[in-house]
Amino acid sequence: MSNYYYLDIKLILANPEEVTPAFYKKNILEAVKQLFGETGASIPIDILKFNSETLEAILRVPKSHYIKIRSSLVLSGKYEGIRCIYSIQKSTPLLLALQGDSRNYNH
Amino acid sequence: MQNPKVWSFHEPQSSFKVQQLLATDISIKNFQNFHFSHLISVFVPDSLSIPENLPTKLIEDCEYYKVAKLNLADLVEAVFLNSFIKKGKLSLLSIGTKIDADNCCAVTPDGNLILSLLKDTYQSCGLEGKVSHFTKTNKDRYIVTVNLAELKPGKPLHGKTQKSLEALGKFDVILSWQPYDDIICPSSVAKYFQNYDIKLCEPTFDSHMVYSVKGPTLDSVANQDDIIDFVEWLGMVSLDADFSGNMENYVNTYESPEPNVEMGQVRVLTWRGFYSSNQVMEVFDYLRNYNNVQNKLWISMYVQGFSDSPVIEGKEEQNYFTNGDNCNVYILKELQCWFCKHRTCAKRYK
Repeated sequence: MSNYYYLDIKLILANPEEVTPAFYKKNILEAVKQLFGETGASIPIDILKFNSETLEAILRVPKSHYIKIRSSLVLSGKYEGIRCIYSIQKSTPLLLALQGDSRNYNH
Repeated sequence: MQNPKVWSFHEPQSSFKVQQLLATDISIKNFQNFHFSHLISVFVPDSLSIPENLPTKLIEDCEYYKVAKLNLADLVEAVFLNSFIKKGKLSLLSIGTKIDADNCCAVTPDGNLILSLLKDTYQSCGLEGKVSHFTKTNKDRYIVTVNLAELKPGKPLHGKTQKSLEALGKFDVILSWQPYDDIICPSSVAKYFQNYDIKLCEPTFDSHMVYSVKGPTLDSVANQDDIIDFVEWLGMVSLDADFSGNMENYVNTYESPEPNVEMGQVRVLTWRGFYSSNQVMEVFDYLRNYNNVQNKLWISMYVQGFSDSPVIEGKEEQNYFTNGDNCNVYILKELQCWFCKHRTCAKRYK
């Protein structure tokens, strides 16, 4: 099986502002560092797709660190001093599966 | 005192099996047990135009019906059993119900009504079933299978089943019916449910191109790891993700797997709806012939099932932990075909 897990996430800010992919990643790493310390900050995370308008992103994380990253995102509450939450829309070990989910489909 | 073990959390397991076959060896047997397909994607490299007739393959004659608040007791009426279950293949699936939280139901084309019921519902309905594989410890979900094809109207079992189904409540469902006899119209099933709020649903189709990407060539001796990398690349293409990454990049270090070639464009065709195994097989057949004639580098097809279907393949039970993935990937290259099965793991979580 793949060595990665993929997360489809959305950053929701209390006061919307422009976010770049680099700052997006920095904030995720800070969230991991806050919860799991310096070692957590060295986890290789890739942003495979980023939408600067909706602040949605597709992350690729090593599967061995998936739980830690997901829990860090759930507990993260600040983006550059602004209150925020991360909404995790779907997570899967198969990137193709992020194309759509029958749960959200309107027949 | 030892520090608590906060660093060793394992990810939810899943299975990904790869099988290498001759393309000609793939038959309806490889498809028929995968009852309900929701999303189908086809990937064609170096193709400026859409393969002729392909988009309509999963649009025309692939309509299905949505019935609101269906009383399941209607499925065991003598008229329905004789006219639809015995004279065709009925596919039915509850929608808007979650397999990890609600009661769900399905009718497979072989005539089995499968109910995935919460403990309270199961204990009050009076149907016989067995505890779900995934809740063997706390026993809070049960699976009931009723063979509609063998149900005989007038017998005590029929009456008891009908009464129990009546008590189950109502379900929003999608359904399609394929008659054995070609002169009968598949829309007859809609006529039967005319007293309900019934709606004709059409599949949706979408197509996009990804330009100037490095695409893997895929060796004929590719091993499982090569196929996993290839399937990840297909995922990148399907999502139109960022291919500009490299090992030096801070944001994205993804690079196309090697060996690869520069591709002018890769076309992705995606359909969403409610598909039977026969319809999926037809598309596969089309792609197999297309590949023989056009001699493409490779052609791939991805088939995704419903996340909340009570069964996946045959009578294999479905579970939803962090996701309800159940998908198949077919990769055609020359005379070979790699057949990949991805499922959520059958592990029981407490």
